[in-house]
Amino acid sequence: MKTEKNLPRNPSSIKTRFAVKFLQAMNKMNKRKNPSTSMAVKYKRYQFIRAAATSSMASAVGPRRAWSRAVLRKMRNHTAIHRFPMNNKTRTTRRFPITRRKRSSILRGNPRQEDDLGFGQEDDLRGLVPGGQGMDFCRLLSETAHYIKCLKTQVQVMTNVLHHYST
Amino acid sequence: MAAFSSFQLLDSSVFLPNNAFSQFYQHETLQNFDHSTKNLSVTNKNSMDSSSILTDKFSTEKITQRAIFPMDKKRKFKEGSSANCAQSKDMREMKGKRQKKMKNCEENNNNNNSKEENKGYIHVRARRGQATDSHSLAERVRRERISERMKILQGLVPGCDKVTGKALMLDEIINYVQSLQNQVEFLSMKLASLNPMFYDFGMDLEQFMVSPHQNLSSLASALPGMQECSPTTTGNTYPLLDNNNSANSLLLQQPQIPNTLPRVIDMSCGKWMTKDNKY
Repeated sequence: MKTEKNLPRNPSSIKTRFAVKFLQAMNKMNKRKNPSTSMAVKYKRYQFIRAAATSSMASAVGPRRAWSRAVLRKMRNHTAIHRFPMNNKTRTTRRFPITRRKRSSILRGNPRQEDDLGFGQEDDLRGLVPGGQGMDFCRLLSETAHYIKCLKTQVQVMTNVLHHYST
Repeated sequence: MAAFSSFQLLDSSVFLPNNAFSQFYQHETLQNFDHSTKNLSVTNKNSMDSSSILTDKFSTEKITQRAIFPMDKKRKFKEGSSANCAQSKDMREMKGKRQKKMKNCEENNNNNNSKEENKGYIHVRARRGQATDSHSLAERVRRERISERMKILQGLVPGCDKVTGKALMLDEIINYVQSLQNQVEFLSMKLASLNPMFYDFGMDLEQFMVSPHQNLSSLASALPGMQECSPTTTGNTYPLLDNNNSANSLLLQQPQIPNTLPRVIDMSCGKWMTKDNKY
């Protein structure tokens, strides 16, 4: 609780930065989109909000974490594709999911060393944490811890935005 | 054959005077050695027995050397895989001879001898339990790091402290991350469905832009605790924003935000924390 009280006085905290960025993104969306209530528009809006939430969280964290770096990279690729549809070819040539995994498994040595842990679970966790494919297990755990913290703050801020504007 | 030749060399080196000690141990380490730990312990015992014959001065020295050995980790790693010395019979003879020599020339070779003795003890320690092998040591460090991180995660994930076992803990963690991600999706869906209100909110922000100070002061009067902090948020430029392209793509006008921001954060301090603890 004591850290929570300090937050408004700490403008560089992750929560504050996330809130700022998220509200900015929402504002941008509201400027751009028409206020019709058709399903397609709503779905687009939902997608935009989701992307805004994740990317603003990642940019609030900055490039010091592997998961935020992965998210930012993904977002950058995504926006590049949308802006320049001609670059679809470069996208397909740039993404080598199989080879990357292979390389990471080679770099990690034998990835099947954790006999005491369930492999399926580990792979699940890798799938959940962004950028978790190429990490060793220690790194994955620390990244997961940070990611959980950030998701918590994200949920907090988003619920508060919702409460604030629904009432 | 190589072993045999080195044996011969060994024998010759034993009969040489003081200078031969270093050579002797070099050969010793070079040899291929496939004796069991039992044999080794026997040799160790023998050496201890023979050393007990020696004068008091030397035995005390030995004890001090033994006390120092565990500190010397690097050497232990190096020597862990290297081969050990010859058969126990030969060993006994050699040791006896060596110690006689030591008696004679204690003063000159003290340091040198202590190093050699170090090696001998550390062979045994590395051999006995394979736990001091460098590979298993690294593995142990890694396991410690994993368990440490697991502890951190245990503190973060609610309901994880009741669970024992890493697999179950991982299950809990995965479930929690999934639930949080689902919550975010749900919230964004709700926010999307909330749009007409949001459009008004956007209009409000336009109004805020026209006269930000008035609105800010009204908000500050509503939330007296926030009075000092809102100007700092307006003045602040976030250094990380400039680095990220995707952040820049999301950026909009700066002065609108502080009007809504303190409120949001304040709510997150009060309301949500209780909910969050309940999870």
